[in-house]
Amino acid sequence: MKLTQAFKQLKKEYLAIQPSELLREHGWNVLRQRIEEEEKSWGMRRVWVLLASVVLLVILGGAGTVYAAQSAKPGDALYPVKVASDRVAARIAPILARPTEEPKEVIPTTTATPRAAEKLETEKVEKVKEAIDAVTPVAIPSAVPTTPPALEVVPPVIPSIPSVGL
Amino acid sequence: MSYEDVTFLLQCRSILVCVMDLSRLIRDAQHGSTQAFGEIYRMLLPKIFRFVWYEVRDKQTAEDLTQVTFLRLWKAINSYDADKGSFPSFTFAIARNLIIDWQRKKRPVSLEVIGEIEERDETIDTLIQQEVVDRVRQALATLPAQDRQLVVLRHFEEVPYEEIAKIMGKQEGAVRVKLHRILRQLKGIL
Repeated sequence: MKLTQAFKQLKKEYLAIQPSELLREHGWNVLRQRIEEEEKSWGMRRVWVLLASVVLLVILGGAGTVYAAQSAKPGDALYPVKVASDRVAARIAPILARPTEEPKEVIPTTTATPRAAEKLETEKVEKVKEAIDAVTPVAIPSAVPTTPPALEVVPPVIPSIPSVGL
Repeated sequence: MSYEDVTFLLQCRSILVCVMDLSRLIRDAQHGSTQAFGEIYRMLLPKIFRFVWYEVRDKQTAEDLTQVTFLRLWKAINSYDADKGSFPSFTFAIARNLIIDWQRKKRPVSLEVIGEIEERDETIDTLIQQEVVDRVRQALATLPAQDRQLVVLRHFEEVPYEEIAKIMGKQEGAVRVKLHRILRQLKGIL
């Protein structure tokens, strides 16, 4: 009974607790501003994340294409990419070189040689193919019989055993 | 209309708000209406403020935590599901988590401070009755925060057991047993 009465009194005190007039009057305006600011910053964050994703996708896609182009041969769709990547590599090689090192002389043949070899090889292959196609098949008479000669069956010679009179 | 909805409609200030359905306000707020959320804010502000104040015992801190509670409520409003509990319980749970975080960071408040109620209502006639109330108040102050919140929600806010269980993240039976033990403990002090 005492506890119930005490709770009643305490509840009265509890319900009398009120926020300040300032919070009641202006609390919502302050909160709304904060919500708007947070949403704005969240919107900007989303834009940045989207931009970063696009840039990353482009970089990864480009790198993947260049990597895939390294095994391309003349005439392939990715071969120009390979040649272009070689040119870029040749240009940035002196920039990436350490300052203590002597600047390396760019010899065009260093990058041109493998490509020239690839071209030469491709041309050779093409020529061989053309030569093979040009040759008409000639009928060669068969000098050797196709079926092997039948083996002559020799009956085994059984030596006669002389009869010995006992 | 649920028990909590009725309670809110009784507490609302303007006739305009009274005729508006709380669930509609929630739905509008979920669709991004800050105006609807503003109405919810006005409805819930006193309730959340006193719940927070009763734990932190500092008006400025209580106001700050109340504002943060509503900010989090706005962010989490789309995750509210009416089938899983009432909206006030959802808000109480957010406030309670913030109080727990605050209590972890701050040192415990002394009993002298807890014993003082800022807006004390002097309506008790006799000194004996006043003494009983003081003793219960002090006993409540010495309880663990979680136990005190149980008493506050059940006996001061009159929140149903089922909702308290959802706020506390416990089973309804466990809440009943715990509250029974707390009351027995308080009776023992008297």
